[in-house]
Amino acid sequence: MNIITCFKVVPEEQDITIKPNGELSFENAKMTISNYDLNSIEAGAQLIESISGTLIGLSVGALNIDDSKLKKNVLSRGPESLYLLADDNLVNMDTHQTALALKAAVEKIGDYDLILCGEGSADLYAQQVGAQLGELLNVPTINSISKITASEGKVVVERTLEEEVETIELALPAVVSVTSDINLPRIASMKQILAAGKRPSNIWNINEVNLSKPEKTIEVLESKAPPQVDRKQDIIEGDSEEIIQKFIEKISKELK
Amino acid sequence: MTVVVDNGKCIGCGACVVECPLEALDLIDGIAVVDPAKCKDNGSCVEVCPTNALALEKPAQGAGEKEQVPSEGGRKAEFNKDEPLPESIQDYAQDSPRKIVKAEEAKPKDPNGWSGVWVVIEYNHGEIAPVSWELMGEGRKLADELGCELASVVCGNHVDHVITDAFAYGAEKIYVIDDPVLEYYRSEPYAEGITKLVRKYRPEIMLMGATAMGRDVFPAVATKMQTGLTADCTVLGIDPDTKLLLQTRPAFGGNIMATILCKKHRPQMATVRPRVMKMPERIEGRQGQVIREELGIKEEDVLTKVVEFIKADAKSVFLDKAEIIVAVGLGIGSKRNMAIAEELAETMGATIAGTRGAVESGWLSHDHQVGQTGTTVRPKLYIAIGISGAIQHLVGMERSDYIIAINNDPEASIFRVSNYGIVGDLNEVVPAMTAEMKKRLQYGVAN
Repeated sequence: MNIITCFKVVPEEQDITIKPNGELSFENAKMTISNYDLNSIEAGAQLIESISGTLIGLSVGALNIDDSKLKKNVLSRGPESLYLLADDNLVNMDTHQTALALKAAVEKIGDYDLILCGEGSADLYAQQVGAQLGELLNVPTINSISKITASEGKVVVERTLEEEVETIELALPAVVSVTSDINLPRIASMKQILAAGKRPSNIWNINEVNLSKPEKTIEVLESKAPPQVDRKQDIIEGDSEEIIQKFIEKISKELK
Repeated sequence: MTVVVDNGKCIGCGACVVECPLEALDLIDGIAVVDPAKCKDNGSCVEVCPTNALALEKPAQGAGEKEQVPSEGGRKAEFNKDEPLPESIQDYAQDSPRKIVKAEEAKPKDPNGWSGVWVVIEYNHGEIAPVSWELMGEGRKLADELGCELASVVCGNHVDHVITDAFAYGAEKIYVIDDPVLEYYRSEPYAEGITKLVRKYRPEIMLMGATAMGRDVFPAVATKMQTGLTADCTVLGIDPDTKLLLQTRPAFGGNIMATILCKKHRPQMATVRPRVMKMPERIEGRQGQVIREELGIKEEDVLTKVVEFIKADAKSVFLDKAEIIVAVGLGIGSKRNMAIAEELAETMGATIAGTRGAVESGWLSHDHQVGQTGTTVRPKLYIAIGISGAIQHLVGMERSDYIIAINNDPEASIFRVSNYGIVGDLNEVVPAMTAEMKKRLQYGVAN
């Protein structure tokens, strides 16, 4: 089985700071693999370990996603090769653009049976690229998948819904988005990291995959820190018996 | 000479198409169209047309038309599009494979051809997701601001009972696709069916819950329509000048709220998480128009099969339904200390929840996680123990009616969204609260 696992490169959340004007500063933010995509990479690695086949990592984005540390990080987790569509025409894409770019890259790669995506991205968390990619490729697609079992020509998946679990059979090829519960991503050993350096990476620009700069379907009007909710903010300090008693008095008066 | 169609009067009911012995008529884009090569002027279509839209030859003027149409003793009144359709035609349309095509309604008020707010009702495994009704409440506000109508979309198998509910929650019109293929949710037939409705009736705005289903089907519909989709909106509004839908959603772990527009494409599509919008009042007995469409997909053409589904067991906690939540953060320090929070929860009849940090530490399962990557909650009372108040957590709980925080750090952000807070050691405060609550409950006194 040929599996492509998609991942997004995002600024490290912990390094993002809020400027006094409420805007975000990415100045000190390193680029990293979106957390949720570690689960889809792991899911791909486990499938390949259980049945034979190939696992390819794929990402699209601006030129800065072509980073040797990032590449090693992905390749140490299981994929035997990596494809990056890295082009500054692909900066700050919305989900529709991302899906179009992924589609172009997937078509250039050619053969695939299964494409795996994470639940959402760590930065925008729109959770819609997987479904949009499946739609563009015109193959079956489903999200919220918490278990995948592969067999000849199909996969059987478990889909975790709000109040139930569905078992679904998908004909291949297909696009599947996995939840963050599906597995615990491995921590690569030193040996795997060293081996990752020898695995091939293929870097393309948009012309090489026959993609014209995709048009945005949505526009961001403004981005700012969320407004503060207006609350009473009656805060008392101390944990002596007397203060705790006073605290309980206050809240019970209000709550009854 | 052939039969002439008055496009302004044709409601696309299809009666003439069925009637014509020569198959000279067809419905194209909801309007009857005559094939001059086949038409032999036999006039049976003119007889059957409920709106006098057909005539045997083009009338020189309005009056001429009436002369052309045999009036049969005045049985056929002049059609007025503001009046409801004659009962006989509605019945006819119900039974006909060519269902009623509301050509009149399909002509939107928006000059660009897109009008109306649609809420896609989530109906799966026999249950309606309550977020659907929450969005009817929100959709009503948007429709009122735009001066357009509010409609529901109901897709599934045997969904007639959902229609009553949708009217009760304020739908003026309901688009229904009722088909055995839609028994269980699957992306392809659902997306295909909804897209078919969108292409035909052209809504300006479409809303759906950001549930597993909404997150799956809306991206597919948006891609088919080549339009924008904003996921997980927390605020929706209409820009007073441009009349565009303002869609506000958290990004970067909730550190910012981004306001997003979909300027060039239609429909404008958004998903909203459950419990972000208020549940509107249900008013029984409201009526409206039901428009049925065929799905047109055969089971064997769908490549996805639902093998089985297991109910309820999937999840042991229902944070979304909890009235009181006792939530813990990394501040409780260790799994051992979960006991003091659990005891308070048990005493108060509360449900236990936690932050991402607490879940990742293995103190609680993912089902208990509140925040952007977990569940959004809206309980009456939220007691935050040892929670610092990272934005990604706050976006999931700040709509609680009452928030009480216990934390030893006076600078903790959680205090900024709290009604009451105490800066102290939770190991002292929480057991004391539990003891006090027990005492009060024992004596049965309220205060």
